[in-house]
Amino acid sequence: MATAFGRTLCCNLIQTHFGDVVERVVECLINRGPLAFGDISRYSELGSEAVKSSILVLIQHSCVQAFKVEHEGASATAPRRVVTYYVAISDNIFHRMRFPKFLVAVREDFGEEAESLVEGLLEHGRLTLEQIIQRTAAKAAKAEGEVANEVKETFTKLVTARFIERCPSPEPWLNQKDPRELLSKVARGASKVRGPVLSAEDIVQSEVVQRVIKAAAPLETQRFQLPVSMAGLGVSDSDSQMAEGSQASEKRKLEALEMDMKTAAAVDEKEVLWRVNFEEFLRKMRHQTCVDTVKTELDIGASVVLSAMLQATRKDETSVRQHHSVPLSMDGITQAVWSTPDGQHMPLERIRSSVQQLASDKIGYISRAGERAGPALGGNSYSVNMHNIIEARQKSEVEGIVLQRFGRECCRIFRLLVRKGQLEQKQIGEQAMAPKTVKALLYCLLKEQYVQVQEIARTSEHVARQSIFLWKADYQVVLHRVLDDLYHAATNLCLRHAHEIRKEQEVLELVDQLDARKDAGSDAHVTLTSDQQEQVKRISRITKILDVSLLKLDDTILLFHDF
Amino acid sequence: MASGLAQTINKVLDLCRAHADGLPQKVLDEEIPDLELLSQAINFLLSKQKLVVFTQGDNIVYKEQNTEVAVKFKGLTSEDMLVYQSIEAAANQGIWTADLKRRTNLQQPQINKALKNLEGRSLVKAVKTVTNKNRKVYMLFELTPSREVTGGAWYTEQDYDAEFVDVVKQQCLQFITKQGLADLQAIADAIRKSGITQVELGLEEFKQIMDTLVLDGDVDETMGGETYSSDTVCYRVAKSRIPETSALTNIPCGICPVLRECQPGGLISPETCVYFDQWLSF
Repeated sequence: MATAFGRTLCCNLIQTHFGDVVERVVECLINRGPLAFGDISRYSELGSEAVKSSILVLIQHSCVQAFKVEHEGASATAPRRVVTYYVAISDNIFHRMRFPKFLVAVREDFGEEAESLVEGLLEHGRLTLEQIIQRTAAKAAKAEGEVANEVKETFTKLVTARFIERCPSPEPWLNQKDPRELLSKVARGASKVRGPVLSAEDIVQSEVVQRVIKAAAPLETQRFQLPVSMAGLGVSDSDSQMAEGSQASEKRKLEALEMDMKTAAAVDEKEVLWRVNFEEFLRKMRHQTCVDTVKTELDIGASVVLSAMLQATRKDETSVRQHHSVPLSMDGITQAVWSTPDGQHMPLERIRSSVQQLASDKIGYISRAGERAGPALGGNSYSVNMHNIIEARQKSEVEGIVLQRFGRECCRIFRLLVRKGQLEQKQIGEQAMAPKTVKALLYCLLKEQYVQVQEIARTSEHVARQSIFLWKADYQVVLHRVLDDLYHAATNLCLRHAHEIRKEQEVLELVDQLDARKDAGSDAHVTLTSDQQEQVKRISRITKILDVSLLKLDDTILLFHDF
Repeated sequence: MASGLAQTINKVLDLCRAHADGLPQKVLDEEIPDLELLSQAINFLLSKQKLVVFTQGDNIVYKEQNTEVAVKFKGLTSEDMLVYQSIEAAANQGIWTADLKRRTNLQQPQINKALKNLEGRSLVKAVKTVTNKNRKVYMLFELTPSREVTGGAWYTEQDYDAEFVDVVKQQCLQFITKQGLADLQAIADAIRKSGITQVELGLEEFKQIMDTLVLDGDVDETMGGETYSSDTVCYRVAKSRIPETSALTNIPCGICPVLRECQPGGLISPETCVYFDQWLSF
């Protein structure tokens, strides 16, 4: 679900990361929906070679997914033909600007080795285990054998924590209705309206993407299955132990199995591609947002409890936008809290009161799930209501934006309308205590589409003087409005960044040359003039401001789009 | 004939006194069968302001005007009376001259004359309204204008007194901050005692103030707590304020007035944006 400026941002990101040719391919796919190979080259006006390599790059980086569709033949007797379509996955393209965040997250949890492993995967899109080992060895300037074990260990940790996964199927079948037909059905009327609000086309397109991703995804059990050779290191510990204890009569069977495993291991290491599992990173950040919210709204104790609950139930979450966590009994919560470093000394009473506090707050951070378990079994179960927390966070962000953009009184009116639904101008003036200015304030909000006005005509001629005009704030529309503004602002930051770099191209090139000479060991006779030094200082300051702003802005985009 | 008329007049008045809550036309018709005489008598009494006519449902009812009132209206023409009655019907909402014209079907000069007469006798008064600044409405002299007309406590001289409202709001907020938790009555008492205002503020006005404070996100509404019973609405300082900064509004685009016209390569574009220039050059 990308808005109009979301699409622009997608193209922009691809352009900065992969260049102009690839951008043209993405532009076609983003704006036109799923396309066959021929169509892409027609619309993008690129040669088939260029399109082919672009698509390969994009698939390698999970920005594009291919899928096969079987068409009915033209006549009943004609053979069915199979067409491969390509669809852009805008979410994954947006994730490209979050790579620094992912790296920081993985370093916090697993240290620098894991960070460099993930970095390699992010850089190359997809790699086999063998390639990962090769890369690490090359970086450390050591033999492959030396680093292999270490890498495998880190790798196992990351797979177990679900930060990396096996790649989805390269070309799944989509055997339902032709998605392009589905698209063209609504696209005719809707394509003209490119408002900030999601058009019908966007919704259908995102539906197609969801279906393709679902079709391509490996089974949940296979997704995080370690290579056979390393199975002993990780989760399936118990299997190998069982094999050891088996009877002598089964020895021959076991030998055959080992043979199989050896070949399988070789295949696994050389052929199975791995990639970073963005979902898990999103989940981690989403949990972090929830915990942070509770920390500011309530207190540290409550946030420790919430964080422990989320960690304990993390494995059972099935989607990133999960509404509720899996219910946890009071005993379960206590155990979970005690197993975290922050909560290990928390007294039972404190935990209980924090849970009570979380459950009784009007936002409803956690909710009671069923009354089945009696007090003997640890009392009631509780589940974290992540949806509520995220919603509350979004709401406060929206209100903050309205407050700073339109001022205190507009914010008051906006909140009034969100609470009360529909009101007349006079009522708004009275209840918001701004009877004189209400008209101008409402117009400000209307112009930026934060509120809507509806005419209820009392005469068939729609005489304005006799009609009633009702004002309302449609929260969903506002959310999309804000999201589109966020994308717009992010696009602007990127463009300005590129523009500033282009402006100072000459000096930057000079600096690069100087650095290269210094590296080469030759004496640098040429130095920068004071003007040039000033320029370099300026550009580095500006890019820093722009980069930091973009990262912060992206936190808000995550909140509104991905959580 | 004249004595007959005098007799009839007396009889009508007697009947009126006998039917204190209104003399129906039906009774009159029965008592005085001579229609000619009856109509003459009633016309005479009406013109002398000694009798008033009402309608009760479908019936016409007569009442004798008491003497005080009769004195008050002495010498007024029937047009004046018509205007007076229209104004009386409008009660403390008042009535605008254009509406008067429509209601009475009189010409503007006639109405002006009648209003002048009535105002001269202190029977009606003109009041300015807040909804339409240059529009006067008329109402009976002894009435106090309603809240819709004056705008209530928040208006001084027909103008919305935003400063006054702000002062009261600040006072309320201060009191709640000091008190921790307070209900409407406690807040109202404290503000009245503090003597920041001469204007009489009712609970209704304080409720209005509190509602705006809630909408501003400065205070939260809760049910009961501490010494208050659980069914009284209480107020306390909000736990989380509306954020003062956000990632979007920290960059120029977040508060840009021409964001909608901004396009890469357009007349307004991120490359040439002056807001960006300012932002990046401080």
